[in-house]
Amino acid sequence: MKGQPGMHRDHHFGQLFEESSDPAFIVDPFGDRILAANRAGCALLGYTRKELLATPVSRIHPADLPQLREFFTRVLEHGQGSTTTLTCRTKSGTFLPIEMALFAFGSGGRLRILGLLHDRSEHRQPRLGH
Amino acid sequence: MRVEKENRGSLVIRLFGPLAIEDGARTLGPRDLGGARPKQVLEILLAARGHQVATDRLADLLWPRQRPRNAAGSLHTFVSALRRHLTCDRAQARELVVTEAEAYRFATDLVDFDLDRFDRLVERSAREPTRAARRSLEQALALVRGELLEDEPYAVWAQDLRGTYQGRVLGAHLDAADAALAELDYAGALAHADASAELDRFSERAQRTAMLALYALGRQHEALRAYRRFCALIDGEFGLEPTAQSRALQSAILRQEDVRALLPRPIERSRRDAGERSVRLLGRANELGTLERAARQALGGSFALLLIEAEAGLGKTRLLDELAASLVGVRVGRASCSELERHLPYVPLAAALRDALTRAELSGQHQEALRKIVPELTVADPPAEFSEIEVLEALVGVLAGHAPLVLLLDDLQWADQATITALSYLQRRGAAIPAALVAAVRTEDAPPGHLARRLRPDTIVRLNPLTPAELAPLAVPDLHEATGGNPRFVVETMTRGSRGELPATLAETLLARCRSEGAASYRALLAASTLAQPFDPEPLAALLRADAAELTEELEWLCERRILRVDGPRFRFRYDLVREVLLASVSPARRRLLRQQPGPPADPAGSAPVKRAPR
Repeated sequence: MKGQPGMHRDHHFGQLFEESSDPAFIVDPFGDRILAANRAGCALLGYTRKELLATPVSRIHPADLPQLREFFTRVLEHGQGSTTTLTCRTKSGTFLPIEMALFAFGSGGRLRILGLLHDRSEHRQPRLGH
Repeated sequence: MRVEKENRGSLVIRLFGPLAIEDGARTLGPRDLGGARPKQVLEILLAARGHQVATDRLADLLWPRQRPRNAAGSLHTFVSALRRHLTCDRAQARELVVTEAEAYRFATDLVDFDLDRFDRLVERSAREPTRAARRSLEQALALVRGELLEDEPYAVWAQDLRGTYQGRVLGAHLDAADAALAELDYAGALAHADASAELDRFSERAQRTAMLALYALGRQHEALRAYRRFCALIDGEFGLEPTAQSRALQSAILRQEDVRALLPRPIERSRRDAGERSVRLLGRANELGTLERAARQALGGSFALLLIEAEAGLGKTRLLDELAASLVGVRVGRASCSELERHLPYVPLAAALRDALTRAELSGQHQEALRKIVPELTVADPPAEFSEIEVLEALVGVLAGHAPLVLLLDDLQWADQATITALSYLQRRGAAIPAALVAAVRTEDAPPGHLARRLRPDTIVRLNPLTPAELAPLAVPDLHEATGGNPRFVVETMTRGSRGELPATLAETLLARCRSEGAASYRALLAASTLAQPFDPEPLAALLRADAAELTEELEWLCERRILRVDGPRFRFRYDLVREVLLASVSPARRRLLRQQPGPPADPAGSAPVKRAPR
């Protein structure tokens, strides 16, 4: 019974994850794979969910893959991390500046990363105007 | 094996001083072994340190001018006499003095032999931190009761052995003196330095150590007098001048430099400890073997540049640790390059040199030019200008002067251009120096075209993720799948696993993130999650019965921590998902209490935790 509250909470979380307005992803840090993406995440990158789960992480971050790997490493070491220096490539080929908060967690004895993204395009627009 | 058990350690044989054999209460001296010849046979066999000595060789040594007609028979008689006198137990005697095919051997592994004990202690001291090393050296020196085989002043085997051990005893005294200096025991250092000088009055290192100890004791005039005396001695005997290192020490004493800058640094941890980690080294045997072989070959007299290449977390630093630990008795200097210091010339190289050599060793004939690399080296005022090539030549000179030597540079991807150039130059110019430079580079930060990529290492070791078979000894199910074989993640998984700190669920992961900001912040976040977004600080302060200004500071801090963000004059959660998880974690009782607080009504989501927050 001890594990039930957690399980219950994670079930709850599944619902929150899916319905969240934040683009959210769960990735396998070693497998270059996206394991789950919510509706907002699919919309941000312009993929259907099926397409997104078949797309390697490296294809979404082609411009700064070494930095992403280093960031993953930091997050796995410290449990969490946040950065505003990375970009994502959408299905249409547009590069989006993003803010990314990552959280490491264990699932079935494996390390996984939850990523919450925030599109910073609007943030950058006024700066370009200066 | 009966004899081994009974005799290991119980039969003590001493060659330092006059030959002595102790067996419990019984002590045998040089005259108690059945005559001069049996005693000499024993000495020759002991000098062979457990190896067999051919009967021909024995005969040559015993009868250098003319052998008797029946030399083999005579030898047999001497060995029999030796066995009889050595111990009453005939079987034991045969196990100690072993008959081989046309040879004899003394089984030194079955006795407590002072030369073996001396060597073991000295060898151990090379791996120990300063304090323990000094203790080991002094234990070794305590075994030196006198000159080796005093009772055989002219025998060839005794002279050879004596010469070898005179050097080893001298080295042990000098190392003990250095350890004493590092521990700031100047009187102890002086005693060892004096003992060294007695063994070899031309030992310049002994003279320098004595000068340094005298200077540290405040006897500056005696230190300078000792220097002058030594100058006169080697000038008179050989027409030589002291080396640059000794001259530099004299100058430092004349300048009254801070003595601590001249002293050797203590080693706090043993090298073996440095290599030890919570998770033992897995795999990498081939890579470590390759590095060790290449380094040893370089130390044999052919300079080598070795490179370890790998992505982050694959164990470059650990491999350097292991390599350093394996280089017993070799002077090793180590440093890491820093991303923040990559614009500063020579910083990592200087750090590695400082780690390997003392200030006094860095001083000397190259010190003026070397100052460009190691700026603290004091030089004439005003300092002379040197071209880059002169600086690099000074570096070559210092390495050559203190080889064998190994320098380890970690994170070479962040090295400055001057350091990379110096490595290349050393490789070209130092070909005959017994030294090795081992660098580790992170591949993702050193793409093609990177300066470090222009080096042409003699050996490259590339690290790959560990294989499932290499992780198997840890006996953790699915460890390879969970970590991708990345050693850093393996360590993390193992240590987190033992601490139980890895959050079990996604929701706990996000809650843990919020809790990590402290109890007050977590309480504010929980309360804020029940408010409509964005929210003003005042109603939140009312909910928490807190001071609005102080709470606003707390909220600003949470913005810096990227949990909240500023939204016009208000605040909101940076990620709605975090807010929703917090809201879902608020108990019904607390929600009821929050609703009862004065102030504006809480967000309806407060009573419906799963509902999506408005954006």
